[in-house]
Parts: sequence; C-alpha cells; structure tokens
Amino acid sequence: MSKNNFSLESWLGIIALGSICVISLANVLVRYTTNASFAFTEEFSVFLIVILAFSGAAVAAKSNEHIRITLLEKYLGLTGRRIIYIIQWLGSLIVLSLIVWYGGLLAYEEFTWESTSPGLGYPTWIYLIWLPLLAVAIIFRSTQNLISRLKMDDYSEEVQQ
Amino acid sequence: QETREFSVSTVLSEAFPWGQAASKWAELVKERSDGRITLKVYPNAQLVSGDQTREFSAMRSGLIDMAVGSTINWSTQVPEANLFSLPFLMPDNAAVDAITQGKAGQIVFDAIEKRGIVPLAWGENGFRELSNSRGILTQPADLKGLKVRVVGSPLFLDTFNALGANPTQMSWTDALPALTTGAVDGQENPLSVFDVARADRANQKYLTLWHYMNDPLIFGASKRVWSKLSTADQQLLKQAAYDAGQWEIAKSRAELDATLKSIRDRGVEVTALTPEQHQAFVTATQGVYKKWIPKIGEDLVEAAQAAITNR
Amino acid sequence: MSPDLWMLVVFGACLFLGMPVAFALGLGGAAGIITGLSPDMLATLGTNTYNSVAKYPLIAIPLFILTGLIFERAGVAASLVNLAQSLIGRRYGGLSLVAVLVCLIMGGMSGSGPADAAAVAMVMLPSMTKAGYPRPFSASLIAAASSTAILIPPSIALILYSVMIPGLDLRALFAAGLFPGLLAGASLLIPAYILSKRNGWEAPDPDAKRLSIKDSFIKAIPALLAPVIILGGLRSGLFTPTEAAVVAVTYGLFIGTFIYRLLTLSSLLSLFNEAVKISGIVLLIISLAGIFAWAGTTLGTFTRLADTILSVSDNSLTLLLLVMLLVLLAGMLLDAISIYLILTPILVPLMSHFEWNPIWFGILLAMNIAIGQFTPPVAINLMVTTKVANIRLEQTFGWALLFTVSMFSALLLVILFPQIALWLPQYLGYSTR
Ligand code: NA
Ligand code: NA
Repeated sequence: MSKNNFSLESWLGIIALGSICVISLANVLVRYTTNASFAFTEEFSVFLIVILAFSGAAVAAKSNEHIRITLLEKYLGLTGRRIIYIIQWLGSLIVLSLIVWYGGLLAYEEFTWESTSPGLGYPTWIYLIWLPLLAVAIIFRSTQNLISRLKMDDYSEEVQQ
Repeated sequence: QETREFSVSTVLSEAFPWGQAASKWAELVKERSDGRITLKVYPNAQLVSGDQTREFSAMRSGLIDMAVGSTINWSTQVPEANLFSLPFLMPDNAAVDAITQGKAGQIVFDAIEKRGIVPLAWGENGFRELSNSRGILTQPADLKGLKVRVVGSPLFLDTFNALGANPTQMSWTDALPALTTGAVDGQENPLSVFDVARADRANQKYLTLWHYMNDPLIFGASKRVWSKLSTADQQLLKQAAYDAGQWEIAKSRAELDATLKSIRDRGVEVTALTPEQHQAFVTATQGVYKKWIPKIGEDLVEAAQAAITNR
Repeated sequence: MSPDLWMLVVFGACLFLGMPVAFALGLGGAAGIITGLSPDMLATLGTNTYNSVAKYPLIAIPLFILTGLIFERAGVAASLVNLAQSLIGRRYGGLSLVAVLVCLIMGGMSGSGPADAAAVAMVMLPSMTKAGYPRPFSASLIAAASSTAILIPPSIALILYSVMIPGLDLRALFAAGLFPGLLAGASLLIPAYILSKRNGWEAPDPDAKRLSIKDSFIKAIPALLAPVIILGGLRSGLFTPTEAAVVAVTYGLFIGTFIYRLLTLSSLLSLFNEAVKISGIVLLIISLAGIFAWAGTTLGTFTRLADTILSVSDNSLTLLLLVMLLVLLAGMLLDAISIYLILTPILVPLMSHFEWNPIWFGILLAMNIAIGQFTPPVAINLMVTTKVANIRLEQTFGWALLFTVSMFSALLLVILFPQIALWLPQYLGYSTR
C-alpha cells in the first residue's frame, strides 16, 4: 500500500475511525478528570460507525476482498468465470440498489416529517442520507472491480492480487 | 373465513407492565374476533434491530403494523410528545389522567395522527424515579456533579443540566456495566423497571421518589394497515386497546406498593420528597420550560396545565 | 416452495455462485420477503441495514481490529508469542498452545470475537506457518480460540444477555464465564496436539536454541501490562467495556511509538486504512445479517423451527440438548446479536418452566454462540482469520467442524457439571439467581 494513494472512501473511513478513537478517549479522560462527560459521545459514535462500515465496505469492494466462497470459479473456464463474475456483480447490484432506493426514501421521509435525533435533537436525515450515498460508492467500486476482472484472463494472477 | 395476523412492536418484554399491555391487547383481540385477528407481539424492538427510536418511522413505512410505544421514544418524531417529559409537570396519577383523558391528550393524539400513525389508546410506563450509588438525594444541590445515565430526548439533558448533574446518554447495554463498575453514578426509570432489572445489583442503593415525569404508553397502528380494515374491525381493535390500556394502568398502579416494598427489602434506601423539597426541584427546572414550550406548543402546555389545576 | 425455503435456497445459491456472504444474506432475506410478505416490506433494507450497525457496543469491533494491527506492527503481540514460546519450547502442538493462550489473554481485554481473531491471527499466523502448520488449520484454530472472548470477561455477549433477561447480576454472569471460557479454550488443544503429532507439524528439535526466559519476559512486560491495565480500569469503573477498546488502542499506540519505537505517522495511516477495510467487511455482514434475521423473524421461520424442535420431548435434559442444537443451527447462519434478539424471547419461557439457572443457561447460550462464530457458512471469526491468512473460506470448513465438535464437548461438560460455571460467582458471593 503506497502513501497518499487512498481513495475518497478510505479517507472517509479513516476520519470516522480516528474520530471514534478521539471522542471515546476524550470522554474517558474528561469523565475521570472533571467528573463531567460528553452527552454527544454515543450519538456521534453510532453515526461514525455507520460511515466506517459502509466506506470500509466500498474500500474492500474495490479490491474484491469481501468474504465469499470461490470454489465454483476454480472449476470453470475463462468464459464460465466471466459469466459468474457478472452474476456476482448483479447480485450485489440488486441488494445495493434496494439499499440506495429505500435508504434514500427513508432519509427523504425523515426530512419531510422533520424527525429529530434522540440524543442531540439534530435532524435525522443528515445521518441517514449517508447510507444511500455510500451504497452508491460500493456499487461504483464493485463495477470498477468487475471491469478489471473481466479484462483479466489468467485466474492465478487474479487470486494473488 | 380469512384470518389475519398483525405485528405489534414493544420495547420491553412481558416481564414488564409494558410487555404485558401488548399481550393483553393481543389476548382481547383474539378472543373478541374469535381468532380471526391475531396480534403477534415482538418485544425488544427486534423489528427495528433493537433501535426503539426508529419504531415510529418503521411503523409509518409499513414495516411494523402496530405498536405499544412510549412517548419518550416517539418524541423524536412527534415533538408534542415531549409534553410528558417536562420536568415535574405531573405531580400525581390524577394529573396524568387529567392530561391523557382531556383536551391535551387529544392534541397529542392529533399530532401523532398527522404524522402517519393512528393512535388508539393510552397505557402507562409509570413515574420515573432517580436512583444512584452516591447517597440520599433530597435537593437539587445533592445532584451536583452526579453522573446520570439518561436516554431519549435532548430535553432530559436540559433537565439534568439545570439541576447541576452530568447527564450522559447511553443505551442500557452500556449503562448496566457502567453502573455496576461505578463509571456512572445514577439512572432514572420507572419503579417496575428498577425492580425487574434489579438495578440494586448495579450499585443503585439510593432511590429518590421525585416523580419528575411520567411516561405514558400509546397503542398505535400504521395508517397503511388501518385504512384497509373494516370499520367493525377498527372498532374492535380500538376498544381492545382501550381495555388493555386501562387494565395495564390499573394493574401497574396497584402493584407499586408491593414493588416498593420488595425494593426496600433488598436494602435500597428509598426517600420520598416533602412538598417543600419537591418545590425546590420545580423552581430549579423552570428554565427548561422556557426553552421547550415553543417546541412542544404553547396551546398544548397550557391545556395540560389547566387540566392539572382542575383535576 | 415455502418462503422460509426460498430464503435458504436463494442464500445457498448465491453463496455457491461466489457472491460476497453479506450480499447473499441480503438476497436471501429479500427472497423471503417477496415470497412470504409483500415487496413493500423490502423497505427494511432502508432502515434495518442502518439500525443493525448503528449500535454503540459495536464500536469495539473496529477499535479492537485496530488494536490488533497496532499490537502486531508495534511488536507487542510478537513479544507475547516469544515469551510463551520460551516457556513452552518447540514441541508438538506448542504453537497451538501459544495461540490459544494468547487468544485467552486477548479475550481478557476485548469482549468481541472477531476483534480478538484479527489481532491474534495477524501475530500468530506467520510463525505457525513457518513451523509447518497448514494455514487453514491455524486460521480455524485461532478463529475458534478467539471465540472465547465472549466468555472470558469482559463480554459484550453476556452484557446483551443480562439486558435481555432483566435482573441478573452482571458481575455473577461475568464470573461464571471465566472457567467455561478456559475449558472451551483447552478443549481445542486436544485435537491440535494429536493432529500436530500425527502430521509432524512443529517437530521437536532438541538442538533448537531456546529463547532466554528472562529476556523474553522483559520484552513482554508492556504487552503483559495491557490486560492488567484494561481489567483494572474496568473493575475500578474508570471506563466501560466498550470504552476498554479505545484504551487498548491508546496503550498500543503509546508503547508502539515510545517504547518499541516501531510506529511512524505514515505506517499509522496505512494501519488505519487496513482497519477501515477489515471493519467494513465485518460490519457489512452484520448489517445484512440483520436483514436476513428480520425476514426470518417476520416470516415466523425461527418460531416455527423452535416449536418443531421443542415439541419433540418434555424431559428437561433432552429439551436442553435440543435447545443447544437449535442455537447451534442458528449460529451457522446468524450473528451473535441477532441470535440474542430473536431467540431469547422464545427460550426464556422454557428456562423458567424447567427452572434452569439463568446464569448457567446464559453461559451455555454464550458458549454456543461462541461456537457459531466459527461454524460456516456465516462465521465471523473464521472470515476474519481467513482474510488475514489470505486463504479461501471453504478450505477451513473441515478444521472448523473438528473444533466445533471439541468445543461442543466442552459445552456438554458444562451442561453436566453446572458448577464449572456457577462455582466462581458463588465463591465471590454474587447472586446466581
Ligand atoms: Na472477553
Ligand atoms: Na456461524
């Protein structure tokens, strides 16, 4: 992994993880030293883990590192493998499109109903909107990965990546 | 004859009055419809992966058919429901009934209906009392620096900040070990929850009966489901909800003395406030009203206060 | 075909076709929803994918994954391994024993299996591979041993259980988990030793230079202090079990930068990036497992499955065994949190009917759920360790099955001798009722 070569989702995930560390640690320290604690810790951390989860999933999609069973691919020829790759991509696409559609709808509904968050009273949609946005990012990365896999014609080369 | 099953979401299980309210509703509906309509109760907010604050919107989008929900959890979607969280608004059971059964209650129901849920009847989670591991609390000054676990709405943060405490929001999953080890000093919950969840085992040795708020339960149905029912079935479900709610309210109020006794028997020091002590808390939290009345609605708060005065 | 069956068949077919496990779970759930409910209900993919990961205790997972990476890069974990090796020496099964021991120590710091698995796998896999153990074996062993993290206190699973069964003393529950956790870890050593001897892995070498115990002990002091600091902080109320994860990260960063002096800013950035990726893989599965679980719950699949199994007998022991079998089956497909949310409401009435001790029953459940973390196809620990080992998931299935059998035997022992769980909390004076 080379320096400064991170994708946008990588940076997003790194910032989310870093912020989780800083917020939680600060909370422990502040509670210990001043007897106070941050009321926002839980609400922010919970939001940040969602960012982390889906941006991390996009990072893994780009390098095709999501956990799966590759038994079938081993026994197929080049054409068969390419067909399988497209089917795999389609499966991911269906699930992710459903997340984009219904996640977007949810964020939109919460926006129109003016729902607020339980902890700090912020509008809920500013948290929820990240789910469909990052699902789009995963679709984009999976597609990139599909194209590069379709171009490849040597299986062993692909496994080693 | 066609039978239909509806999902009913609750946050607490049958070990608590909350879950019992839902089971009673299911029982009455099954009986009165001769088994034609069944309500399947899903406790622990499992239909929304345990996130109780998302119950209301999931019901609105049709993922949940019906629910017995709490005004605290629904207040994120219905600002008017924050009425019940205003500190020290309702001094006793009569005050609670005066609100829910009168004009104020109707305003809250209308607000819920306007946001996509058909409200059917009231239940009760009970007055929320304060417990802690530090000592006896009888005046606002005693709360200074007290680390209290709260949940639900920013209003709770304002109330505890006004009293000089350090409120911190955590789920019960995190609160339990935090209370056990002393990372957090206190918590607030209805007596039934304190009792069944055995908060005394999490270091909560001091309990103050300060009655600072009451959390009514609301039986509700998704508009999508409701509009497809016949008028007769709507009436049946609504009446059953009303009866189940009245049954649960009476039952949980009747059980309070026994609950309190079993809490005392476990060595918990229980303190009730004198009227003067209570007044000191009322005075200390007036700022919260100033901030929240515009959000909740002036008419609603006035109606509630009038109902309480004339109770 | 019934909706339940659709759900399973679509899930299985997607897995076979090589789709990522997370998306196979999502499609299986969607198939169940379309055939058994209504397409409108697919809206659950909007709210419950979010809700399933938006849980505060889950922040421990990325934090402990980061801890594992930092401990590995900073040389902390390696010093632990060296110490254990200098004590044990090169012998059949020696490194297996080391791996299990390190998993148990790490389990004393973290309350979650996948996090523990990531940390130990990164440290142990290279040396085990060098000593001749096949990587699929090592990955399975570490996945199984790290599942004890949810038995050895602190444990997120046991906290969840105490929330689901209100009124239990959390301290008693934590104490009750210790010996069953150690027993579960020990049960893995028997097959590990036999296999290692039969296959000549890590053959004893009398000429091999043994590391000096004193040197390796001194080097391991900062590492050994980690669980002391974390358990001490937990006991004294300095922080909560979830926050313990961030304390571990900070401690790792501190000794990595100032004592072992192996961490730099740019290496830190790449560690964070790696942690983001592994967390994304694990959390995406948790998210979509939530959809699969939601479909199964709403369709009544789990209730029916439970009813079928439980209608077989009304003998207490038989039924307990059947319950354990049910949880074992559920553990193959579901993640720990879903199992607790779905199965406890079904099982609690049984527990009270047969008057099973709730603490003991909770430990049995947790042991079983621990097993579920490494039983394919949905095996979160195994997925983490295979990722680190860079092998295919299906290569581990045989070994994972073997360790399932051994840990299930440990579970049977706790069923037969409840005192294994209950002795310690009773000795410490905690209420076990
Ligand atoms: Na642990
Ligand atoms: Na499994």
